[in-house]
Amino acid sequence: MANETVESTATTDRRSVRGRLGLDGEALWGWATVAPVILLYLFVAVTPIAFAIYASLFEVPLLNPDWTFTGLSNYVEVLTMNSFWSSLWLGALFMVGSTVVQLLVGLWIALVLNQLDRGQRFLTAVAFTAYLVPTVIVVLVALFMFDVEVGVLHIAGSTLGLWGERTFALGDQTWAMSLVVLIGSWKFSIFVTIFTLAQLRAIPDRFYEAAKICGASRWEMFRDITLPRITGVLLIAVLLRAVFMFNKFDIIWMLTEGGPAGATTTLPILAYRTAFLHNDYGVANAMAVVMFVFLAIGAYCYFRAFDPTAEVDT
Amino acid sequence: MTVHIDNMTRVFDSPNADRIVAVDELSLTIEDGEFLTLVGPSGCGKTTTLRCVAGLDTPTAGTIRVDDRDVTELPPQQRDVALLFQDIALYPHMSVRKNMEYGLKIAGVPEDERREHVAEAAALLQIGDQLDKMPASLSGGQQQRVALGRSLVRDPSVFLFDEPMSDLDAKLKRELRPVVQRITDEIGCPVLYVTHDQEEAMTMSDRIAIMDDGELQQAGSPKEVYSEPINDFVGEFIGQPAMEFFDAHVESANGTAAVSMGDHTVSLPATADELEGYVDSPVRVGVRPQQIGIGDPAEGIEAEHVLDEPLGDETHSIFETEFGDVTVVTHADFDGDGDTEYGLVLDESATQLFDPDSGVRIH
Repeated sequence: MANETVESTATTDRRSVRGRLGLDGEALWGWATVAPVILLYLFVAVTPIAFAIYASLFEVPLLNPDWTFTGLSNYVEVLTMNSFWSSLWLGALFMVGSTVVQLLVGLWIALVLNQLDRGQRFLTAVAFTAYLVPTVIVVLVALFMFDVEVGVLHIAGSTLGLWGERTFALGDQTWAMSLVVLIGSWKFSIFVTIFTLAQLRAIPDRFYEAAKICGASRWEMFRDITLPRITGVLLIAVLLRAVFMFNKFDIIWMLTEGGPAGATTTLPILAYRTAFLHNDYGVANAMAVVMFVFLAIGAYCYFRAFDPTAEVDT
Repeated sequence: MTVHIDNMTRVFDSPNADRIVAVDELSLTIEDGEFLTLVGPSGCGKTTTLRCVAGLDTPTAGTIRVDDRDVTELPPQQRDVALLFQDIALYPHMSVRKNMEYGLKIAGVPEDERREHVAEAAALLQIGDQLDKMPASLSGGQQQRVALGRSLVRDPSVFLFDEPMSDLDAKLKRELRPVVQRITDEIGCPVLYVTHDQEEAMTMSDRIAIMDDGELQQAGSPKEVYSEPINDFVGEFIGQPAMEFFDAHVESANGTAAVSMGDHTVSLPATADELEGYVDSPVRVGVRPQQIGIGDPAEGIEAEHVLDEPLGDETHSIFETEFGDVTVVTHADFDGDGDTEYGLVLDESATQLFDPDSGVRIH
């Protein structure tokens, strides 16, 4: 009792000092805990984005320190640029193609791994190494496999009549995009597997046993139990994959540099070219900002349509 | 429909131990409309038996027939059974209605017909107002009613229960027991009910089959297994509180048998024929706690009072004797005293004698 009285007077005293700030001890601790994260976020994310938006309003020759303010003219230039719209189309193609392939392959691998009775841990680890192989290595191996002289995939393809004996498939207008999608998916499909596998393992056997008793076939069990139980994580995985692939630069640049004849020039490639090959930093920034806006709108619509967060909770 | 289990054995191979014989040559028949309860301690093979009948597990040897149809190797989808699980296993992503009609949907029953069946079952189970809720928002008892409904709407030809009430509290169990009985009566198919709770077995069954260590011990009506247990295991397992056993020695038998238990001797109404081979040999005497009286130390087995568990209408009193702790059902007003010497008096007509080695009841 005595203690309580002492403490309550102490609190009142402290209140009088901090009262004007509206802070009690708990709130102060709260701010102290959150502040480093906010600072870091400001420094790492907000500042560069703000800088990019700022730079997009200027004409910025890459090697010239003098910036000329041009208002929204960079945006006008971007939106009237033919190559921007064609790159947006190719980028969307790359994004949708990659996401669909990765979703299907990743889910398939997850389902197979989840079925294994023996060696599941080992094979899971083996499958996951694909994700750990550096992109450069994936690209080097891919280029080697499509080599016109010795590449095994080149020979396989030309034997099947997909491309000519002397055609470099990645340099072929009709094949470049699909092959970039497939090579990227080789590495990134396992991302979907990692996401789904944990959720698949969490589905109790009982659900399947109950369904079997009800007479459900394998397909019906997949449709009515497995799929609803993993929809939430799949929606998140699809969103993440789509965003990552829309912004993907490294693997495309290393494989084709956006070629042949612009067949794989997605928006990040176009922005890079504009900035560093056409020496137009301001326009490149405007392009990046437009990409950012498009992605934000896309993500917003996605969340409105599916609400993946709600699905994960159940 | 009649379910025949013939010489069924199920052996599990385990990588780091010996083979485990979960069920050992079990033979049982469940008649049409019969409520048969398989009861025993955990690990006795009762659930394995049920899973084999359901088709979720396959016997190592022996056959399972429904009427004349051999279903031993058939998958569960082709058996037309209903199974109620201990952990309920409702689909959390489907509403109560969707859960209940799932089997019908799989069977291709049109939607309006499904709604009708579900409404009927829901009314019977008193969950009519819960149909549009999600299972997670229901209590455990209601969830088990929904699961019961899911099985019920399909009108199965065999109904299986795998300890469906183990996770429910005592009051809910008592509420649900008559519901289960009414529903199984209505469907009128063979029922195999697995539980480790002898009270559930006694109250619900037409017939009880007691299993231990993979082997069937005895099958009979509740009264039969209670009053005429085939061995000491059944005697101890069935009945609450459990039967008390005393190591004893048969001194003589002619008309009445004199059986000495430590310093105390009782005379039982048994002829020499009945106890042939046991005269002058050790036996185990089994008495139910309801059949033990309290008297002076001179009258019975010397005992020291340990504690009382008053239940209101009667009291379970625990005494320490030379045979170990003994539970006695005493009068509601009984209030034991640690300083008084008591004698436990066995009702001689109600005692049973068991072979000390095999456990088989000899009288």
